[in-house]
Amino acid sequence: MKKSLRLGVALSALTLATAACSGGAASTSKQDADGPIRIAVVTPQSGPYAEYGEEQREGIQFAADEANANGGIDGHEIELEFADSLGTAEGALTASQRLVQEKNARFIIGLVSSPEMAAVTPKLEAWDALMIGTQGQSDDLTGKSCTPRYFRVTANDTAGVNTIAHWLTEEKLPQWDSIAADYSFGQASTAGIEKTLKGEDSKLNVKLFSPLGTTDFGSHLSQLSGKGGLVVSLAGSDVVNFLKQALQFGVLQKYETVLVNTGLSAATLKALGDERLVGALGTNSWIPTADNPATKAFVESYAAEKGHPPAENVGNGYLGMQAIFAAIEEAGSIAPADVAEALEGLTFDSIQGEVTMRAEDHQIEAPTYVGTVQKTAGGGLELVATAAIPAATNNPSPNPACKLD
Amino acid sequence: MFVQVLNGLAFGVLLLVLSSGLALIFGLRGVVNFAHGAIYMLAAYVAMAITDRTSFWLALVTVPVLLAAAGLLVDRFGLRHLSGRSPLDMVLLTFGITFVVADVIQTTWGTRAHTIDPPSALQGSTDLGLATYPTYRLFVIAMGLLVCAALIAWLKFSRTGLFVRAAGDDRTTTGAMGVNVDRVSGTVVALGFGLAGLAGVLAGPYLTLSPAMGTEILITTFIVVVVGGLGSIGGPMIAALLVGLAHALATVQAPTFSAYVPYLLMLGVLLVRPQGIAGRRTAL
Repeated sequence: MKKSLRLGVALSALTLATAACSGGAASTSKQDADGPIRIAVVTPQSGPYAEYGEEQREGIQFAADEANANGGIDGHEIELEFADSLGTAEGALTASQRLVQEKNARFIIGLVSSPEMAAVTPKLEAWDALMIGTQGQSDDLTGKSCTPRYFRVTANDTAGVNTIAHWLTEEKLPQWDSIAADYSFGQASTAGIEKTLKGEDSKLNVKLFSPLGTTDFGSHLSQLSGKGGLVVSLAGSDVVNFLKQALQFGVLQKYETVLVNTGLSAATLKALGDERLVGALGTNSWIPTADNPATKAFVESYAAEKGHPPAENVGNGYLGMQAIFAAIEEAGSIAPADVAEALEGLTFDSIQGEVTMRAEDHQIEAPTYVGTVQKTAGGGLELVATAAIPAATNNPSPNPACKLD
Repeated sequence: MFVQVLNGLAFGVLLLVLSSGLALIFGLRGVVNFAHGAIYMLAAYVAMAITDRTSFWLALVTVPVLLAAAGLLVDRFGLRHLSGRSPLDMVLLTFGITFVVADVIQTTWGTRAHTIDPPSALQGSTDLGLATYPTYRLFVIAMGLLVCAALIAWLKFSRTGLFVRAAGDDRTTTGAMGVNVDRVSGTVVALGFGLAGLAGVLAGPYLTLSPAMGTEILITTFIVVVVGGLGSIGGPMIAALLVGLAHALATVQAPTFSAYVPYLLMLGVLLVRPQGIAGRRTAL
């Protein structure tokens, strides 16, 4: 008993020591008006979303390098400071606070999931910081919990659902099954699908949820009917896990159509590399195959430099940086308060062409994309965009619950 | 229902192979091997590298052996020197190995998820009469049960097995009887690492490889060992299958609670039988 007590005490001490290392003292120095633009890149470096974190960092780094090579933004050099969000809300908060207060990096970017962002957004004003959302989709971030210092350059859940609605209405199947991640993204997706299908004389037959980080989907798979279509609203390594096991069980092949809400990313398709996925339908906030001159130009310059096309979230991270740069140029200042004011309602050129940051709720007005999985010339798979859903169709009107003043 | 039982068995068997290694090392060295998940993960990645170049079968044979050798080294140059000191020193060592292995994996193979294809003989599904089930999962179940049967036989009937059981019971007395306890412990740590390696290779084509796979399964494995009873080998084996089955059935019957099931099981066992199903000790 004594031994175990000692072990327990020691373990707690270890935990405390780790926490103390990442806490740190606050710094009061102000961002130097003529100094560099310091950007806090807070991404998950482990866990189910580590891959997304890496993509975000690549896009953000590419944007910073490009800007610095062209003489900086409005005369300021870009400096990136990196920290690991650990993929958790507490981790995101600790890491962001450290970069803001110790490194004086007041522009936060790179967080992947909505729960991570929701932990940080309430603190932004007190820290005199600004955050760009480049992936998390929760409606609340630009809805009832919107804050003056948070801006999102990617689609929100409702826009995502309005985008899958394109396929749900086009496919005209009498019934669909759904499997979704058991948190805001998957729940919003499932609710949206159910609503859309009601209006289409179709129905949601089986409705399943799986916790984030599920390793074995066997029990879920045995509950799927294999009839009609299947909508998958999973992300990260979960979607790879699910699709792989669904192919092994032979369940995926039974469906007439498989539709994946944002999950059919370049990374997923590369990990699976299974030709039986050809023809699957996908959606995303932005995809590199989008038929848009600005997207094409970005993909070409990225590929010329790196030797491969950018993944989806490389583009999203890059787009977030474009928003910061455009607002700094508009404001003529690098003070977060001035930049936030300039970004409100700002129309700027991006990898999606001309987009507008809506003033009412700080949700971007930009197209979203639908596509089908096709085989590339090199033998790999990619989600090829077949249509763009314009902002007017995908974007819900601002939630009146969002009060920014 | 039949498929759920198979699902439970498949995952349970994986836990079984992992937890018997963990329990063996705990029994002999008195150390909770935090590196167990990392070793399992390393095995899966190395198996992927070997499978890509040659064949899965080669990986299945070589990887556990390689990791057993690594285990021998860890014991010879690490754990053995720490055996008289506070358990925290051992925890720090195995915890440290976890970080090193995880970073090596992330640097070598990146953060993205990978998959291994099952060998061609085990691809597709098999018709079992009541249901068709992926052949590879049936192979995992068979392999896991076979290995555990062999392990039990070794512990029960071999001379080294006798030493292992004796040293697990009372290290000092066993040493006094003329058994080289350090050597026995080395064998057991190697065996434990080898079993974690085997679980990793088996998990490759069954689950998905990602730098998070080690920690994800380690927690469940700890639960299995606690439910099964510290200091016992048979207990964790029963507990592994129990946790696997309970999880599979709960996913269907009570999906909202399925994530809590292993924890509830642990809570229940600790309340009713604090020493676990077959444990002889109540604490470290």
